[in-house]
Amino acid sequence: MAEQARAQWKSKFGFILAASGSAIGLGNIVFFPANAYKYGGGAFYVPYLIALFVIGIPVMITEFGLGASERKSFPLAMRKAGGTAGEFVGWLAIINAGFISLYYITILGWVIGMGAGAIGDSIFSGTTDVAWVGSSGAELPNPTGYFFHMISTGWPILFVVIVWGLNWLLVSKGTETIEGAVKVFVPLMWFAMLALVVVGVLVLPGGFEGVKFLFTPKTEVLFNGLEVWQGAMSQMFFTLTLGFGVMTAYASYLPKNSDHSHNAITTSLLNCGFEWIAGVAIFAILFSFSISPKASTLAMMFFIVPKGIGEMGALHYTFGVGFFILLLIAGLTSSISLVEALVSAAGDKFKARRKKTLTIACIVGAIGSMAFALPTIVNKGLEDDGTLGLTLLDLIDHWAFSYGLLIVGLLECLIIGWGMGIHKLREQINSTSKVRLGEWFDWLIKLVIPAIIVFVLTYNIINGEMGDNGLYGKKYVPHYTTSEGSLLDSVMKNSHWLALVVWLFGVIGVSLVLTMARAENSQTEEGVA
Amino acid sequence: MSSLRKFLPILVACLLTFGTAVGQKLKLEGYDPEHGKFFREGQPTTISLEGATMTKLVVTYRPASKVSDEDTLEATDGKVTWTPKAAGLVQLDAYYGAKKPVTDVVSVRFAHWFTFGLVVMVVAGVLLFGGAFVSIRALLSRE
Repeated sequence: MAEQARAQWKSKFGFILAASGSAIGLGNIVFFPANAYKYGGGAFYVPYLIALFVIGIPVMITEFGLGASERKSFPLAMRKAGGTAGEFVGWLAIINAGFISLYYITILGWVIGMGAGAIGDSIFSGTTDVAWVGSSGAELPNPTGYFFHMISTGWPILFVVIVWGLNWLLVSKGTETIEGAVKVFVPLMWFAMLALVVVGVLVLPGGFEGVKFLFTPKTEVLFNGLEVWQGAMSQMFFTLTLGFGVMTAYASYLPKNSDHSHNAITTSLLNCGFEWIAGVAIFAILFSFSISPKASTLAMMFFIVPKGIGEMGALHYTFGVGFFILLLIAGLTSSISLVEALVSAAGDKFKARRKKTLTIACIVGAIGSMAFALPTIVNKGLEDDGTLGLTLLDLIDHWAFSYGLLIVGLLECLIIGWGMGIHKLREQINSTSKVRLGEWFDWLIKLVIPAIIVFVLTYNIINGEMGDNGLYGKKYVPHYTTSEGSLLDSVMKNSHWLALVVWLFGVIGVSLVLTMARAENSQTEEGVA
Repeated sequence: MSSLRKFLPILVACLLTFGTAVGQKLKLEGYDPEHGKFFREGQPTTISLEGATMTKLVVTYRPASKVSDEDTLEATDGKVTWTPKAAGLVQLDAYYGAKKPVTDVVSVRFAHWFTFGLVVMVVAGVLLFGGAFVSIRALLSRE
């Protein structure tokens, strides 16, 4: 195969839009406000901003620098940094991101379902009969009722296929289609969120009181235990899409002489600025309609915010439909980056044709996403409160999202910091950047950030998992039970262990196989249509 | 995407709320959010139950958060005079003998200007948007 030059972004601004579009996702719109509420409003901003400058921006500079200097996707760029172990960590990031994209796209399928309900004006008021609840069904108030009814039908399967199809289309020509999409989607996202802020703060009764509520700090939370610090440090990793391999893949399509420090600062500030706006909009709605957030992303997305929008009178239709469109495009700009990270990694290593790799990834992904969405796995036998699909999603998310990213981040910092020698990368970054990084940067990557991640992981395991009410604690009682003694009952009761084993062996096993697989020697056609 | 664990019990909560709320409803004097009438920090108000005699009221400031704070107020003649001690979202659980209380969430306005909050808002906003603006301007000028 003839050697082909690696594709490039048409403009630096296009790259910034793509990188910030990847970082700004569903979590920015609903997870950040939920976290800000949970951790004392304005008080959360103190550790959050510290985390942005101590963890977020430095790790992003490193990921950008690595991608652009090696001009390879994450696994092969990490191989240059740390040999076989480095490549293994690279694949770990990609496969873990693959797990996340499976259920992330299922959620986007549900967003389409709820959006269709919003277009039909049937989710904001009234009740829906959810036949599978209890022995004879129940009438639940919307939007909760509509959601539980919707996920028990066959429609989410179609929606999941549509979302994977959209991903295929948007990633099919690499940077060309991605850049085209983000130039429309990202400005649209900002516009929709700003419109929600204007209405929330200026039109809704008590909207500005919600803003006061968001920013007024409950400072005791800063000194009462370490949880808020742990929450902010974790949030920063998740919100900037670090540890996914995405930022390295995107940066590999940049010229080597790009200003990586500048790019990382711009992308991070845009992402966190969007969260600032989202917080204002969501808190205005919460206060105005006296809705207590449950600090759960799905609940905020499908129940709490739509419930608030439903109270907006004549405006509810426009803002209801607009909210789900906003969620869909925010989710799509993130999901295409996850898919691109996988496709470019496979292309780099195995020299596979982009469209072939992409098609296989989308088919396998669609099957995986269906496992979370299939109506047949709505567990009609459950006596209390769940579906198997949601249970799987919940448990896999618990490991892939809450632990996978941090573990990759830790290993990435250690390999680049100590193995490759971060000073080499820093010198390279400095040679093309206006913002010059000093030796302090080396110590951040080698010592400070790994120490923070080890602290967060240890804290999570001891206080979260093994704590009394933790998933693996003594007092844990599975919610998901069915007919006593049946095989399904045994599986459900141990689903938290099963999910851990599936995630751990899935991620490690596949990463090992891909690391050991024979790579093609010649140049790849990465990023080329 | 974490913290999903509380998602499923919402269905149960929804069922319970729907089930227990029939017949009983909190009567909140002077509270009409649709017309912008919220409770105000430091201003007393009277709370009672429609359809039952309340025995006690449990007030949770900033419910479901790491900084929630709870007060229990005993009812006299089925009524409680409550003076909100903090602004924000507050959950009211009215007990009347049945196992499950009647629950409602209300919004409480701030009594004062939010000086400290304003500082946080402005500092965070200037840092994030000011930084992004300067950064993008530099980027575009180079392109």
